[in-house]
Amino acid sequence: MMVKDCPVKLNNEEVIVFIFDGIEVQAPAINREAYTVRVKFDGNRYEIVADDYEEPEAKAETKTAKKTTEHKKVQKDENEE
Amino acid sequence: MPDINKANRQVCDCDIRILKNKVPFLFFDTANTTTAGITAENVYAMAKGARRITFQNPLSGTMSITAQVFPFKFYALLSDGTIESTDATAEHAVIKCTTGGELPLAITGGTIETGSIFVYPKGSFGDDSAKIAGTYATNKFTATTAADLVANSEYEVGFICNRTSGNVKKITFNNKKLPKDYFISMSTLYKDEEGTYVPYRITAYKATIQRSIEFSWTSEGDPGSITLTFDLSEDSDGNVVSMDEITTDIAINPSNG
Repeated sequence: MMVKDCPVKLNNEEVIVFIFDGIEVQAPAINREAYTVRVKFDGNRYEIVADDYEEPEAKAETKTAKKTTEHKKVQKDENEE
Repeated sequence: MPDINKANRQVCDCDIRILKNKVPFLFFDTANTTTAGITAENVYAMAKGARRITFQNPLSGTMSITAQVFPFKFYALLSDGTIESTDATAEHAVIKCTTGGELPLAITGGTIETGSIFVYPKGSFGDDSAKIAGTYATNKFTATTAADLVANSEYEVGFICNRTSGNVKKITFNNKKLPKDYFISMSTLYKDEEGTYVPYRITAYKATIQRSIEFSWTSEGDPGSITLTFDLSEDSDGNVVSMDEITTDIAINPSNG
C-alpha cells in the first residue's frame, strides 16, 4: 500500500482528477478546493484520504509481536527458575 | 465560324482555387445544380417623372453549388479552408462487466479524457441518480461500491475521446477562422443544333463564400443536400465573371497519344 500527495489536474462538482505516479486517475468529487490530495493506493484501488492520514507502519506490528514473544520468554524463564 | 444555337442541360464541374496563389483547393464534379447570377441595377435620371437617361450600378453577383454527394473538404470552404487532424468527441458505449466491481474501458484510435468518464446501468444513461461512483485509471473503472458493477451485466458509459492525428479530420467554424477568397472555374457542355457538344467555362474571378448555411441530417425524404453560395466581386484587374465557349479545346501531352 502506498500513500502519496498527488497534484490535482481537474476538480469540479462531479469528479476530481489527480496524478498518481504519472497516472491520471479520475475519482468522485471531493467538493472542496484542493491543489493536492492525499491518496492511498492498495495496488488495485485508489482512495482519497484525509490530508493528515499516515500510512500504517507494518514494522510496528512486528515489534509488538517480538515484544510479546520476549515477554513470554522472560515469563517462561522466570517460571523455570 | 458560324454561331450555331446551343442549349445546356449539364451541371458544371467546379474547379475551386485559392485566389491568392491559384493553388487548387477542390475539384468537384458531383454537384447537382450550379448557378451563376450577375446583377447590375439600373438607375435613372428622370425628366418630368419619366426615365430619360439610364446608368448602371456596378456589377455584382453570386455563384452557387448545390450537391448531395461531396467530399468532407467541401465544408472547409465555409471555414478558413484548413482541416485539422485532432479533435475531442463525445462517445457513448455499452460495456459488459467481466469482473464484479470493475469495468474495462480501453480504446484504440484515441485516448480517453480522464475526468470525463461517467458510468450508468444500461437504460439509465444520463440519469444522475443512477450514476455509478467510482475511480478510473489505466483503462479500468472501479466502482466505489463493488456491488454497483455486477459481472455479466451491461453498463452505459459516456466519455470524451481525444482523437489524434490520422484518426480524425476536423473543420472548425468560428469567428477566428475566416474563409479565403477563391477563383472558381465551372465547366459544362452545351449541345448545338447539329448534335455537337461544345465546352463552356464560367469563371468567377473573386468569390467569397456566404457563411450562411443550414446543415440537415435526416432519416427520411430526400438525401441531405447542401448549397454553398459565393458572393462575386471584382478582382484587381476589374474582372467579375467571364463565360468562354471553347471552340478548340486544348490537348494535353498530344505526342503521348
